[in-house]
Amino acid sequence: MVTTPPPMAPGTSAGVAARAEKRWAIAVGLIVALLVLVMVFTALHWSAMPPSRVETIDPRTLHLAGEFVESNLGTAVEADGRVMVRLIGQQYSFTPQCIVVPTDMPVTFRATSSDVIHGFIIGKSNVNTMLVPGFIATFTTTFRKVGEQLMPCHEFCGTGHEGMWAKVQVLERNEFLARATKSRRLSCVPQ
Amino acid sequence: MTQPPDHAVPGDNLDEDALDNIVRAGPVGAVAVAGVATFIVVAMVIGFYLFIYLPRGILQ
Repeated sequence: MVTTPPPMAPGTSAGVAARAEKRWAIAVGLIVALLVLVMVFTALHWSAMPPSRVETIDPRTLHLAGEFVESNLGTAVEADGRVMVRLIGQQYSFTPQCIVVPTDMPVTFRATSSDVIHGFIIGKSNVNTMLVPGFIATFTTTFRKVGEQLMPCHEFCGTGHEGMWAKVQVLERNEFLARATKSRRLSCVPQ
Repeated sequence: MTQPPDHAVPGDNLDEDALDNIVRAGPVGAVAVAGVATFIVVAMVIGFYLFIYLPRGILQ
């Protein structure tokens, strides 16, 4: 008497196909678990959250009071030794027009817009964010190479958008610190 | 000019047993194609994570 194996038994074609599907499902499950694990690790390790710290500011009083008044814009070495750059984007320019930063030191940018949404990107660095009126964009990066980089607005902001750009002058760390002792705000003008 | 024989059309006269044998051999080709495609996608995700997301750093 010939007995036929059950359709899903190992060794039968249906069994082989079912096992292959199960293995593939496990592999995909492991990949998904790995990606979720990486996300959870980064979230806990960095306390990274999808909308980064939201800091608001009243764009109507930017120029009158607070940290974005004209005399406070540009690069400065803070009391705790951090290099801080404050700038404003407006139709159709950045203030200041040229920013001085050092190499091999973390530089923190704090920027906002006084009118519409502008883009903020610096040459070949990883600085790339948006300046949204009412919000302060914060970004910390380290420049590695001395030289001049272009900082154009890369978010269409109106008819003069293509003319809206500034420059970033990356100085050697010691030269930067020497200049920083001479003046509270650094300027691109050679001293 | 010689005409190809009818049975040269793939799968045309495949019987159930032959099909069964093929399936029983396992979906090696499908796993290879899907594996390579999945590997490329996962490698891109991990590449972005390691070389763009991590160096970019946390936004404060």
